[in-house]
Amino acid sequence: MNLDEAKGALVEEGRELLLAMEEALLAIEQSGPDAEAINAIFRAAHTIKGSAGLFGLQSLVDFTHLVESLLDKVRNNELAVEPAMLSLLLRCGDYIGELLSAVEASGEDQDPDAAKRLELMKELGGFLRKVSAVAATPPTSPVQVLATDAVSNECWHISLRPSLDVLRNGMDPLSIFRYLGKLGRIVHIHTLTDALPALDSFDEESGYLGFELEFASDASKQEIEDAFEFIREDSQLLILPPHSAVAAYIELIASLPEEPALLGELLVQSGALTAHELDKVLARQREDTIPQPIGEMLVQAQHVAGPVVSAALTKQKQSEQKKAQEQVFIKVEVSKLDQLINLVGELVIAGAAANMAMSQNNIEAMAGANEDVIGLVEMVRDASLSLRMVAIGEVFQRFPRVVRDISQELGKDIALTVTGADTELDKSMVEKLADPLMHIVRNAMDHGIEPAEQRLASGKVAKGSLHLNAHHDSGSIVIEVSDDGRGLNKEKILAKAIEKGLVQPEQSLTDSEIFNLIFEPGFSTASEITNLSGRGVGMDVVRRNIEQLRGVVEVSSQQGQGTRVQIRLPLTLAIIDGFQVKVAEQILVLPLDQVVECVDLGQGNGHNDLFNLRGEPLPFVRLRELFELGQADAIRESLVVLQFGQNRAGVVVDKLLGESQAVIKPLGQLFGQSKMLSGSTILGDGSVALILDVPNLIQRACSTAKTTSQDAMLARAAAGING
Amino acid sequence: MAELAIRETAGQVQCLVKGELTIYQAASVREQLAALVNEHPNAELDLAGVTEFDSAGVQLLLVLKQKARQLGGEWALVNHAQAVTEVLETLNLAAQLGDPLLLTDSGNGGQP
Repeated sequence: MNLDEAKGALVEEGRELLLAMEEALLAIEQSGPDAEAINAIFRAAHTIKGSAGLFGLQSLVDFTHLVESLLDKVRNNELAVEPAMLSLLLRCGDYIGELLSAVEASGEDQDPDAAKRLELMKELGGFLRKVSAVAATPPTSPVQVLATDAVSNECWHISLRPSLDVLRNGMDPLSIFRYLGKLGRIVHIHTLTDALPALDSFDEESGYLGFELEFASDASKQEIEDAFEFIREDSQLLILPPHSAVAAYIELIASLPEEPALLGELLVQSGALTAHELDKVLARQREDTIPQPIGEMLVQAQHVAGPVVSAALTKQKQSEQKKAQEQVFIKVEVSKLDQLINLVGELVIAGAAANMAMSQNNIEAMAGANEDVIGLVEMVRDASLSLRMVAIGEVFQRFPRVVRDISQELGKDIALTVTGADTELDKSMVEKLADPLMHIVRNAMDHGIEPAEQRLASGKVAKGSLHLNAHHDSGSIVIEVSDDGRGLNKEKILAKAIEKGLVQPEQSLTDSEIFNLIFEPGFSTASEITNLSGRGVGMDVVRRNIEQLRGVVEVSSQQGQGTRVQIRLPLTLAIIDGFQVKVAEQILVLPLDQVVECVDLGQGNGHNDLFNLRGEPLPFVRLRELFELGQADAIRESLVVLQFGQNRAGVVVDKLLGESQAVIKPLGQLFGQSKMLSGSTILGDGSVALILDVPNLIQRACSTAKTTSQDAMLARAAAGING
Repeated sequence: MAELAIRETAGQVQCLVKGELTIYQAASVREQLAALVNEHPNAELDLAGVTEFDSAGVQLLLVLKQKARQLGGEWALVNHAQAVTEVLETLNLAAQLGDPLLLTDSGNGGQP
């Protein structure tokens, strides 16, 4: 085990400990302090400190030591737990997490956020001083902290924003840069052009350019300042010596007129700062509700031309690669592995039995052995696929903290309940679900749940409740976020949609169609913009993200009673149980999970693409027509009834062939446009069969049935099926 | 004094800039070039004849390129004279105002 791996283990372990610490803190907040929880928190801080000490990660050790000292006081009943302390400890946990990420990114122990560190240390010190005049650890004075907090940059950093009149007064910054070349070496310069006005309001004699320089020189600060003497008058000039404190850079960013995000990128790109500063900027960017890589943001705003952003983007990519690398390992329950190995053992025995039957030419024994092998192959398949499955609790576990923080921010009292956390889904989906879920939860807390006085006025309990639930349902996983808030206002949504031109005033929409308008881009009903949501971004992004996972998201609501957002995802496994059908010599495969039943279509039982199934109208599509496979020549057609979520529809095929396993192969570019196909598979005889996309087929059947039915009764019946 | 010569070859509008392109000429040149960019958002600006160049020239070119882009075109700057190249290198603006054809990873990647 090399050092990097060991450090990786430290980070991994640290994160787990922090999670335990957070859980314990939230438990104390909910139900008062108990010795066990306090011990758990102390242990977490202590263990992280110990491991960090092994690697000589001094800044991590120093910080966790302070946290530990405070907890020690609490443990010995010298200090009482209070809400302010709990939220301080939660923030400390977050900061330790940032430190760990910094260690992970570079193996170094650099400070991700000096300002935050200072503030937290001050607060920790405040609590420690409460104990007695003789505090076990006197808090380090800020000056010292800053001194150990220098950046690695060996150059002077110069920020110059000349006054508008600089050119008019006959001074060109260019000449100063040429002069600086005599004092030292300009390692990097970045010219800021975003203050340039448009051509029509452009004054050719004003100076609009700003400059950021990295300057390597042995000259004194005075000498460097003197170079700018003639233009210093009303220009903004900031000069940071080599190895300045991180905080000085934070101040610099704050005092310059440009966007902090842009400056952060520039500073990293020019080598003034290490990547950690950028990480901080990126973190800030992630909190922004517009999920757009910063670089693109800047290029779009034409702040920076393409190549200029590349360095920063490389950095971003590296951290993504880091993420991808984390996926190299996956935790698997030992029992699952044991089960798989047992099955493989059985398979080996069954294979031997089949061989024996072969050599004896015993047909009956061969048939039996073959059946055994096939049965075992199926079991091995299921067992090995389940290795990739993880409990959705991995995503859910972050929400107690999120809900706590947001409810405090909003001043609402909201309780979160979680059910079905052990529902399993594919590992790759777990990560991609986190962001959309976060959006939905924030939305529910921000817009769904009313303030306490409003709740009391409408006869509800003051405490709002939010519920996360997951369960399996016919081959998909369903995740629900429900709240007992004010619900969605149909009229308001419809009015807004008409105003935005999303629907025509004369269109008649079902309730669920109206509710689902909130997922349209640019749609937001919030009359007041809070910093959480209500900017009209979010829900459309949620839908896009879910659709990328081949899932569907739907919302249902009861005015005054609450809202429920339902995400339905396929379990996307590489192998499915398929149901083969034949249409005009083409073999097609339907996922067996979504097949409900098969019925004989008979003659004249399908008018207007609606079939009378035991008195219920069922919309259907003829695959022959859909794929333009020509006319049927007087055969008995069969109808396969499919179900996805709440919706049912039928497909008409020539022949039913029965069940078979299908290993899903992706379709090439050629079929990329076809919404009706989801993949292909190789049949036992080596030929290729296409796998149909059931959700899209059902949608198609329902919509054609709706449009072609002349009869209002039928339309209502079809709508009843849709709902 | 700066001179502008505009010529059109095979539908491609080209404008040759000769002489000094500094704060002293910025006002006069700007008017002509502004008219040109409004008329031809897609054009080439040939800088081979530029003898002097300063920050004011840099700003002017930046604003013109921005305007062309707003109009849905692109003003390409070609044949930079030595005076222009030096300034662009000093200010590290090659990415914005460099020759689009020379912005490759290696300057001599072409065939001999």
